[in-house]
Order: sequence, then structure tokens, then C-alpha cells
Amino acid sequence: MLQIKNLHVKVQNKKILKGINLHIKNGEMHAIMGLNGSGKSTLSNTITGRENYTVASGDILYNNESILDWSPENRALAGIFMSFQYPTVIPGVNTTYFLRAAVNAKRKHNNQKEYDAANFLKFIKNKLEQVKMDTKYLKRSVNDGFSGGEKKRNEILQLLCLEPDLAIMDETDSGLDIDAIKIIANGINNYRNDDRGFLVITHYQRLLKYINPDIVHVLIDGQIVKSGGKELALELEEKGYGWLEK
Amino acid sequence: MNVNDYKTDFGNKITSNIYTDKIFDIKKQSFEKFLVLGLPTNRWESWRHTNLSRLNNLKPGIINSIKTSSEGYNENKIPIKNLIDFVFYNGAYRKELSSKLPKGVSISESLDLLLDDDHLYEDTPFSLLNSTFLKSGITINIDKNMVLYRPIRVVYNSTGNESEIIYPRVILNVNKSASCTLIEHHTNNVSPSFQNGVTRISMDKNSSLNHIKIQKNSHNMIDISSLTVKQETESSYNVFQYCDGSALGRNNIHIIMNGNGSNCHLSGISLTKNIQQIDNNIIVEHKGKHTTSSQVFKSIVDEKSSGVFNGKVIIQEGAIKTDAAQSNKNLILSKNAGMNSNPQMEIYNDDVKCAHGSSTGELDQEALFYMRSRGLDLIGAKSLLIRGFVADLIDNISHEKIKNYLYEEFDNWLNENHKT
Repeated sequence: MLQIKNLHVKVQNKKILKGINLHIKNGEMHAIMGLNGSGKSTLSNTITGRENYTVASGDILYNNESILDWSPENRALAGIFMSFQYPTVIPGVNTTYFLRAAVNAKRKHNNQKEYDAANFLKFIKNKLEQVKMDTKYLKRSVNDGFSGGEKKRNEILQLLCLEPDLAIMDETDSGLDIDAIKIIANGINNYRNDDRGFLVITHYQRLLKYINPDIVHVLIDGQIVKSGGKELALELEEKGYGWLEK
Repeated sequence: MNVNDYKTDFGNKITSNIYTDKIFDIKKQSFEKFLVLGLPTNRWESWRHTNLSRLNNLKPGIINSIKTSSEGYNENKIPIKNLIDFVFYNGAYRKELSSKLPKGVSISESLDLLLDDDHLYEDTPFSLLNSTFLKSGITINIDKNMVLYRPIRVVYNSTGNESEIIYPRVILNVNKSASCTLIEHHTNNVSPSFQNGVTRISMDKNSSLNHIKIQKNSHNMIDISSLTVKQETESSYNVFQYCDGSALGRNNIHIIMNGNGSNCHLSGISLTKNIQQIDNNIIVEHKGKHTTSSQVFKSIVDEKSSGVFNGKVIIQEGAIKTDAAQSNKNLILSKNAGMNSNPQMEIYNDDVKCAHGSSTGELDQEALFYMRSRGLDLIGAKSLLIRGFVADLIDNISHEKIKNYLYEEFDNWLNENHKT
């Protein structure tokens, strides 16, 4: 599904990623762990096409096609989704209106009939229940006045609405209490199936207690220095990252 | 038009054989007062950023070229039933185009009422010119205790290929404990012309007014409007302005809160593109005790257009327990567009609560990326953000149909401008 080949990325002329190789197959969940500044978020932002993340060399293939020249919206429409580490507050833009516009953009892309307001409410109702969100959130501006946990649940809600094939979870667990992490993990686990790929980026092992990645990678200074099974996460929790640094 | 052109017009058009002695005298006094002031220049603080060079396109002689026929009037409809329409067409009030008066509302076209002693308070060049060249206007009275559910709409409309300078004047007296809605609808669609209008509102004790101004003139117009509102005890005045028309649109607003416990809430949206300029020049004067005022003005400037916000709150010595807030927010959509924002407060007593602020910025790139990462294209994402910028002000309009109408107008403006 996603193949990253020897990816080098610069941000404001500073080399951040220094040769990343990663292959996520359908149905696989990969976790990337690393300290702050190791390049975790640069990787997720580059995959989703954020401006100012310059690919110096290497390639990103999605379903065997290079996506480096694709706009963020085309990557999204093709099925790539990122749950933001810091979800953006958009004052004045009503949450329902925004979600419906996003879902309809996808439906239009797939030649499906767009939802009107009433049908959309039916569509979203059980998704709200899954992430334990009240309909009152829908009436507010996007992420405006949401607590940290509410913002992250709103990200999972969008994941459930947009039904991506590849979900990148960028530090989805950071700043959350255990109850909120359980809700988030539950959302992710329910969404997981044999076709969908996941890239879970995290600083701590906490989230990995509740979800089971197939492969864990350790990112240090822009390079994957070690890959292994779930036990690698536990080892990192115990020993820290020091033993892996050069 | 320069000062000499106005002198030419005064000499030719304003003669003692047309007007009564009293009216002629008032016009003469007003013009003399104007001559002392002269036309504003960029050296005047409140006109520093206003481009008046467009006045040069107009020549003397076209003043008061009022056409007598109401033929050709094309109503710019608002989807609201039961409006009480008062129509100015090609420079004059047209009774035949206006609505029948409901109970509790009376009007007069008398110049004696339009140019009463209050004219002596006119102190700006353009309102003095209005007093000088005024030919047709109306005074509307809302009876005391009258609660008028049908909105009053004053329409300013001109059509045709001849340039004109028009001087409409509307006086609205909202008497004791009366309540109503006033829509001023500027829909002039003519060759380069200039509407120099005056609206004067007087709010008696415990009265309330919901005032909505919609300025959608064609883009070759100059529209300078001078609004004065005087508020007595416990009166409540709300105004919302929606302006996307005219080459130069300038709203001079002066609110005088004489009465204790009075309150006013001013808000507006200005939308400009091409080389348009829309200015808001606002003075809110607190004189009574326990008065409250708020201002929230937003401009969206695109292409080579520009805007000005000059807002001043004056809190006089006796105006204790004043609560005043002032905010100006601007969204710049193009590198060639510009905005000048100048919020000010003059406070002459220390028993007050005041806040003011101003911000000017571009579209939030983080928010744009967030929306695009959800599959919205760049145009769609920008449109949502721009709409979000003004949504709170439109949402605040209490009249549901006017709110929906203005959302439609805003979306039309947005769609015309953001195809690329």
C-alpha cells in the first residue's frame, strides 16, 4: 500500500529525514517511535503533502504510484488520512458543515451521491457514539473551545467518516488521560481490518498497550535504526532510547 | 468636483426664488460653513487614507439633475414579505413607488422638517453639502408605544447613463417606547455618480431600533453616507452594515448617547475587490451614565482594493459606569490589497470599562492544510475559511430572512471572487 524509498526531507533547508525506508502492506499496522525532534512528524507531514516539507531525494509510492507531486487534497481523496498531533482550530467554520463538505468531496470523487443535511446526520450518528461525542459538538466551530481529548476524538470521528485506506495517527495519544486513550484505541481497533493500513506515530508506549502493531520502528535522527515486533516497544519503555543511539 | 465646482453649482442652482427665505438662509449658512472647512484632504486625520480623487470625474451642472419620472425603476427585491418601502429613485423620493403607510407610521417630505434647527450641528463637509443641495427627502415618524413588526426599507436607486450627484436625506424619529426595524438598501446602478446622503435617527426614551444597511451600488459609484443617531434614556440601537458595492463607499457614523442606560451595538462587514475602497469612520460618544456600546467591524480586502477603519469611542466626564468595546478584524486576500485600522478611545472619567483591539491578517495556512488534508480542494477550503471569518456577525442578525438573504449575497460575492 505505502512504500517509502530512501526518503530525504528538508524543512527550511535543514535535513530532517535522512533515508527512510518503510513498506506498509494492506492490513498492517506499523508504529514509529522516537524522541522529540527525531523526525516523526516530518514523516507524517511529508506523506500528507504539507507545504515546506521538501523532498530532497527518494520517493513515496501509494498503491505503486508516486504521490510526491500530488496536492494534499488528492492524497486525501486517494485514501490517505492523518490524525493531527495538534488539530487546527478553525473559528467560524461549523463542524457539521466542515465534516459534510469533506465527506461529500470524497463521495463526489467516488461518483457517489452527495449527502444532504438530513442524510448526513443519519450517517454520522453512530460514528459519534463510537467516539462518545455528543451532537452538540457538531454545532460548534471546528475544534474551537474543544479540550485536548475532544480534539483527538474529533480526529477519530473524521477517520470514521472519511474511511481512508491508510491512516496515519500522529501522536494521537499525547496529552490524553487513560479514559480518553481507551476511547481512541477502541476507535482505531474497530476501524482496523485486513485491507486498511496504519502508521501510528508515538512518543510513548502507552497507546500500544491498547492497540497491537505488527511492526515497531525506532526513529532516531531521521533514520530508522531498528525494527521489530511489539516487544521492541516494551524494551524501549524499559531501557529508553539511549542504547540505540550511535 | 472641487470647491469651485461646488460654488458654481451653488450659484446656479440654489437661488432665493426656489426656496422659502428660511430654507434659503439655512442652505446659504450651510454652504458658507462648508467653504470654511473645504473638501477633506489626506492631511485630515479622519480622511488620511481615503482616496477622494474619484470626485474629479464629476463635473458641476449635474447636481440635482433629478428626473421627474419614476419610469424604469427596477426593484432590487429582498425576499422579505410585507416590507414598508420608501423609495428614492434618481435622486428624489417617489411616493408612487413607495408603500402605503401602516398605522403608527407617518412621513413628511417637508424641507422645513428636514432642515430643522438640528442642521446647525452638521459639521462635516459632506453633510453640509447635503444640507446645501438637498432637494428631496423624508422624515419618518414612528408613534410612541408602536411596535412595528414589518421592517421599513428605504431604497436608494438610480438608473441610466447620465452621471448625477444626489443628496437624499432621511430622518427617522423613533418615539417613546416604540420599536422597529429599518433597512437602508443602496442599489444605485448608474454611470459614475455620487450619492451624498444623510440619515439622522432620533431615539426617544425606551425606544429600540434594529438598523440594517445594505450597500450594493454598482462599482462606479461614490457613496458617502453620514449617519447620526441620538439616543435618549434606556434606548437601544443596533446597526449592522453589509457593504460590497461602490468604487468608494464611506460610512460616517456618529452615535451620541445622551440618555442614561442607553446602549448601542454596531457591526459591519465590508467586502472589496478590484480597486474598490470601503471606509468606516465611527464616533461613539458616551454622555449619559450607565451606557453600553460595542463595535465589531470586519473587512475582507481582495485584489487591489483597500479599506479603512477609524473608530473612536469618546467617554465624557459625566458618563460614569460606561461599558465600551471596540474590535476591528481584517482579512487580506491579496498582496496588493491594504487595510488601515485605527481604533481609538478618549476617556474623560475613570469609572468605566473599556476594551479595544484590531487585527489584520491573511488566511490561516494551518487551517487551509487541515481542510485540504480532509479532501477539500484549495478553493473550497479558502471559501469555508473566508465565510467563517464573517459568520459570527451574520449569525447575530436576529431577523431570520435578512440573515439568510445576506448569507446568499455573501456566498455570491465569494463565488464570484474565488473561482481561482
